[in-house]
Amino acid sequence: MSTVFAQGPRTTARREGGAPPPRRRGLVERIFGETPSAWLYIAPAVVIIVGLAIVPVFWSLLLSFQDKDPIAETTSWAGLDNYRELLDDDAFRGAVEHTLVYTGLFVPLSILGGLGLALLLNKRVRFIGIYRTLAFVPVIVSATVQGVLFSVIFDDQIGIANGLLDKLGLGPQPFFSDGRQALLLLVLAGLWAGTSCISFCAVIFLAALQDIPRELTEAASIDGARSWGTFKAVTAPALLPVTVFLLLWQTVQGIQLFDLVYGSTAGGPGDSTVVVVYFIYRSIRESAYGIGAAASYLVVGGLVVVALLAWGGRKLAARRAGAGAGAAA
Amino acid sequence: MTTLRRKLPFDPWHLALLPATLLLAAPLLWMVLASFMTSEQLYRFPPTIIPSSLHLDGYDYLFGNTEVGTWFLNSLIVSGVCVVANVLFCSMAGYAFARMRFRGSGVMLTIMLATLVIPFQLTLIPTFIIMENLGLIDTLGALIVPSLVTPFGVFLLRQFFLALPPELEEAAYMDGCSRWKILWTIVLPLARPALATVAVVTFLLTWNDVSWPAIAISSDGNNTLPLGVASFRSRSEQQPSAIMAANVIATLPVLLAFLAAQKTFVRSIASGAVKG
Amino acid sequence: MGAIHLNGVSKVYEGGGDAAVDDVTLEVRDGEFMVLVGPSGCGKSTLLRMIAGLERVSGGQIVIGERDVTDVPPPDRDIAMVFQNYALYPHKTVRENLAFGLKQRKVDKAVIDARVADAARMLGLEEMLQRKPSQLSGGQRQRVAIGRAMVREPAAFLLDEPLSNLDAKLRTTMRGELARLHARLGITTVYVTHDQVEAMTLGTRVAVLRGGVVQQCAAPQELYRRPKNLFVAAFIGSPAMNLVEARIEGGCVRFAGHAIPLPDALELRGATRDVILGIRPAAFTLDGPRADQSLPRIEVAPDLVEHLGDEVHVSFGVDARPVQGDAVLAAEEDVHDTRLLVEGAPRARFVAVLDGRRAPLAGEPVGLRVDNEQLYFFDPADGEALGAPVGEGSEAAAAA
Repeated sequence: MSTVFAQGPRTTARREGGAPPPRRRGLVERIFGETPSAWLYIAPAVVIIVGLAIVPVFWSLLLSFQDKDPIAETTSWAGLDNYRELLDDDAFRGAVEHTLVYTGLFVPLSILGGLGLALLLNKRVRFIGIYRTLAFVPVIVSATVQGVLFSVIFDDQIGIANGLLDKLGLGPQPFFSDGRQALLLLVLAGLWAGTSCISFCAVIFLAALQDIPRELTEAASIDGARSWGTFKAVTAPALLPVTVFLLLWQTVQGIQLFDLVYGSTAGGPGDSTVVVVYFIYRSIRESAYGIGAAASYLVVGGLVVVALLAWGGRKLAARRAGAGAGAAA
Repeated sequence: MTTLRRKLPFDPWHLALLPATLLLAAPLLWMVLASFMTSEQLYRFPPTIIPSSLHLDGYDYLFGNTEVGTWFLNSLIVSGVCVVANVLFCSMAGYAFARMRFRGSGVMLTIMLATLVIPFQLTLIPTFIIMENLGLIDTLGALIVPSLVTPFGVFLLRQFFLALPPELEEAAYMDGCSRWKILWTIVLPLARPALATVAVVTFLLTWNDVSWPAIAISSDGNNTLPLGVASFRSRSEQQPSAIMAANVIATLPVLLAFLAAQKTFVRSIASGAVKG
Repeated sequence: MGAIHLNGVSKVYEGGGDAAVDDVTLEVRDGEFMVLVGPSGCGKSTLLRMIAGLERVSGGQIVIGERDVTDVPPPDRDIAMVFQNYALYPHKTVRENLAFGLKQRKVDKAVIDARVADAARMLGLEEMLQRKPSQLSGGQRQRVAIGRAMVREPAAFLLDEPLSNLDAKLRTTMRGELARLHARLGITTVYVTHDQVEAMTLGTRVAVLRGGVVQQCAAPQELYRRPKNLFVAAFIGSPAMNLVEARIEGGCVRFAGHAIPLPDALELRGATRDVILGIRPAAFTLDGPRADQSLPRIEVAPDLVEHLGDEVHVSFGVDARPVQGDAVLAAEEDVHDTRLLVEGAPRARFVAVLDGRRAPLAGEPVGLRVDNEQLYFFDPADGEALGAPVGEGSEAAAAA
């Protein structure tokens, strides 16, 4: 193409006839393309993104096969030792388990909660603007602040949560001082606030809901669909793409959990709330780069499996839907 | 539903909306409330829910015993520099990808797209080593450099620029403007909504981020606000009202920005998911 | 000084396959209003954008004034362009829009103010100089776009379908104003449109394009009277020329059971061959006491009579296959949608434009006189014109 301001493809008339010979181009143009100065425009982005995202991915892989002695500052090839060590390490296995428990609870609850909240916030009633403001505020709260806040609210000694239980005539709970409960509270805190909370899912769902043309729901109701019918026929299909997006996004967020733990339990009590990224954080603090890198590659392996499963599931669902439609026809 | 509606003087949906939204906002409201209570009020058992009097003890303690002012300034510097840099660099890259033909554009675009799905723990350790070699570890530079450009911003602006009518730029070109000048005098003034989105997302992410700062920063004087709050909490278990005060201060700038430009915030948060 | 020469200009989009503009050689004389017209995708816009410098040429040479500008960037070509969507800067006021190009050229501020004031006065924009484009009506935006080109005082204006975003009434008004403006400023103008009425009314000369090739470039009347081929004949004129497959035999042209004797002066009269016959809608008159009894008469059954006031459009079918060559279909695409709502047997349809005071009734057979000196003949194989209408040939010769 040689339009000066590149734009969408222009349709050209097709006709017979040989193409005239192309014009001669300068050397710079031949090496860098038609607009060589474009590289100056993208240079900052390329340096940062390639240097601090692409290169590290491969570097990380290399590191995971190395063993660095923090005192002697020597590096030796460790092969799969780091991976083997990790798989035998109870602390790492615990971290993976905690991460999976967290993600397994957090993802479905946040998406369902977000969907419900979005459907509520999509109602045309008075003061809906105020409701939306109240409901969206938690998105902007930092996960650390949220962790700190919840660790105070659910403090077994001074927490207001035990105060409320007492008002209701129930006995006090150990909350964050009990490992099991601490992990569940982290889920609760994650659902409540931060960039992947229920409110975040609601923002996404609400945007998708408002993208549905009103004519569609109106047409469905004219066609005699009741509210549940309209939801099934119009709303649900429109929400499917964002639901898939949220499923992936929330899963990645769950597996990357760090801020909340950092702000509240710092892994405790014991190691009961150490999650994978917290484990890597500790290994960096101990300069155990090889172990940390291997841990991140193990987790990403998990992520890739999840993504493949999701993708495969979608394919399967699509095929089944296609077959169903075929059978119906 | 109709019978219920007839009996009530208001829409029945309020019965669901009011408790749901209050429940979501409740921890934050209590956070603000608790920051104005004394530690004695908070320590009483059973704990107080609605205090009888408000105090500034927490804030006094916080400002007297921590470098909260420095943390605030650090956060402001990091977020400020990152917002400006993102708006600038993402505009440049997004414009080049939208309107220029050059060798490697397809490859570079694909690479950037790929980085959107790379989980950050994969890049964490090498980034740490790179920053260490640059001598940036435990400085604000370590927090700024990796966030100077975000692929999200590049893509968002590219999409926006593609949707602008190219005739505007052609007209300016024929009027004698260079590419660079066209970008500054014609394209960017028209891209304000998209630039606002990039600014908001960058601000939100850099202000609230703690994973990377927790790794890259070790001295108290270089803490960002959320980082300082977390470290303050672990040091001062006995000062819950001061901890809440720190929380309030860490949240306040984002909250004020959110309340001032709620539409932009909501649109910005939704933009990545719905369009992408 | 403002003449534009295109010498064998071509444009091939990479990966686009065939040429969008194929070896076009065209001369736009100084002060001339040249219209490039053709159906969508014919390459007219690409050609204009190449003159502007917005598209690089794949081959050939562009000369503006005396200067080869093939490799000169647009700002140095001494031209100004008006875009289809006006391309007014939305964030600048009308005054800033008008002054922008001059400011970029570092023109003296007093000169800018004077020129902007001049243009604003000439175009009636004085009241609106402080407004933003979004506060203007379509017609006003159009004026600003033209004003922005005017203040530059270029060697040539390039206009890309400037009227297509206006409603029908405003389009007619603006068309007149554009013609007056050109008469007054006398600046070389290249004007792209798909609307043949605009082409006919505005152009000093009109170049008809199809598939990136200039089919014919001539004055509007010449295009109308002496179309070089079937495409030009079908494209120019509204309603379009009636076309039917016919045969010349024994001094008559025969089609669908009708036989029209040919005038003696026509060269083709002696031939015996298949042709495509073209009859302009205006070549028909209603038979009656006042009609010219010397003209041949055909008997038809109108199925649609449209009253337009002064004239009436009468449609009727003839028992022959419609001419469906590529050329005709390509020309029809943009003139008007000829697909019938109720698709009948493929029959050729004719339209006659008659005097509005005496209209036939739909469904009642009626006699029409055909001016046999205004018949057009085309080669069925390649669509080239065969001979010329006798009446017009002498006239054109007299004019020349």
